Amino acid sequence: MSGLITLGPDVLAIHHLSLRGDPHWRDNEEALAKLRGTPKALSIYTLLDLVGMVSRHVGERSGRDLYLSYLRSEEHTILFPPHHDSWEEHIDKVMRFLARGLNYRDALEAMVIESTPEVELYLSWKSILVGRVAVRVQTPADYVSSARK
Amino acid sequence: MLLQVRISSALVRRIDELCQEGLFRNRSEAVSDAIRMLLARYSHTSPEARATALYLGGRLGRAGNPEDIVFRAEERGAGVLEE
Repeated sequence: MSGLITLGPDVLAIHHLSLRGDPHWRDNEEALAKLRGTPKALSIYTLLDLVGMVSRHVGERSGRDLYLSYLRSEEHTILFPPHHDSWEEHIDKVMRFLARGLNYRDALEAMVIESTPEVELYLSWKSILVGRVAVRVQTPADYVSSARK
Repeated sequence: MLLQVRISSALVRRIDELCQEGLFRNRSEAVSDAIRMLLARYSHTSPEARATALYLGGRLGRAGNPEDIVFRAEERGAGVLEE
């Protein structure tokens, strides 16, 4: 596992829910197509987010099936957070990320990303993460254009 | 039924301590209780939870690409992500 590109939940939701009405749709698809065949990662929080969205808009069975498909994927690694033994320990860790101005969900994501040294790039449309996560954050559009250069 | 298993001496010592405390009559009873707890734990878990345990243990077979799964929901737009 080296130089992993990690996908955010927004990127995967636009793809799996086929959100053609989203302004990012085309660039999002192009970036995922470009990454096809390369090892990628997503956090367990991203995967669980995705399962919830698919369950809500498509159905429970589809959400559960998608979860299992990601666990079995040959191309994707699921990143789990370091185990915490107590709430005190968790609060201590997550507070450092909340202090950067992230909401709790993004703080959890940042914790997983930063505890995985192999992650070199995080793909998301959320500009709030830029400069608040100690990993390079790019939008799929920026990724596609930088890959062209 | 006789079941032969190999476990560490440290675990056996801990089981013996529990037996000495009177929590179990002997090692067999302690091990039987542990197995009952194990079976109860897995009888209540979802297939997703079991698959997660297999994944974390590196014992889940890998196949396919989930990005091939696309649901047709074209009428939905950016609002979905803000919900």
